[in-house]
Amino acid sequence: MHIPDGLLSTPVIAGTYLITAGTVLYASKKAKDIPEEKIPLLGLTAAAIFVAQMVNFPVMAGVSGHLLGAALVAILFGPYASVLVMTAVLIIQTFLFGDGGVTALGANIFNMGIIGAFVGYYIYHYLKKRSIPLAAFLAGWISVILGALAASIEIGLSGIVPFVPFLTLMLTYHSVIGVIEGVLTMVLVKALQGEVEKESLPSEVN
Amino acid sequence: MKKAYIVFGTFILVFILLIPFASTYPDGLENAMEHFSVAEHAIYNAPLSYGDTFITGVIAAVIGMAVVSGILYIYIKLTKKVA
Repeated sequence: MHIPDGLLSTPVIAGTYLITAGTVLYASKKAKDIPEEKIPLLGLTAAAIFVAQMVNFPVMAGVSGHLLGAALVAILFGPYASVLVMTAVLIIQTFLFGDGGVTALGANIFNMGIIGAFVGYYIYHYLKKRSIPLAAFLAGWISVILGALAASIEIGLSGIVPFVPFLTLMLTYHSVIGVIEGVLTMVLVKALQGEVEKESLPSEVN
Repeated sequence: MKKAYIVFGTFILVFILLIPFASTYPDGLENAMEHFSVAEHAIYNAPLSYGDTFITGVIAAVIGMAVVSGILYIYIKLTKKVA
């Protein structure tokens, strides 16, 4: 779901960079709450997200998708840590590997990092009392769908595609791609369930 | 916390082994772009690629993972220091 260069209009580029820069700056201020002993684990998690995003799964004829990971990291470490992890992953993908456009970096961090971090985090925390696996699944699944929705709106606003048909196709694909995200989020949150509670940051919800 | 290291370490190993089986289909966005005849206009040449064999793919993964986790680690350490 990495938007390349050449798709977004100047106002959309400026707007998404502005929103993303503000959010990343705020998340950086919040980074002081990340306990010292958790920083290496966060680094390992970022590495895991990077390699996971390299592997595309076929989801239907001629269409593949990869994990995003923002919801998962947000559930385990809080939304601000997740924003920083996703920002690091996307900056390296863009500048070292040419995955995602330089002009679209603000949009890509917003769509795949910021949305997933906050939406995933809050969905999980509102629904976990009902069922932890269901809450984790929905956090992952919805984060992908909303990321695709945001990408479609940004590309649509740039005026290069017919808005509604493009949006419809994007949401169709990503509602299927998101199922993989949901299942993996569910499996990993379940595997780390005991740890998750211990791992909770005191200031996550501030 | 030790369990989390084991889980994410295993996760990384599994995904490295999956690299040669990765789908070459375009992803959802790329497919939608093709559908509406929208093409990218690259303005930047990246120094590396994800590789097209298992070995080059693994090398790309190792470099990417090292740089991502290194940068994140240093960045969080520095921001904590500043704060």
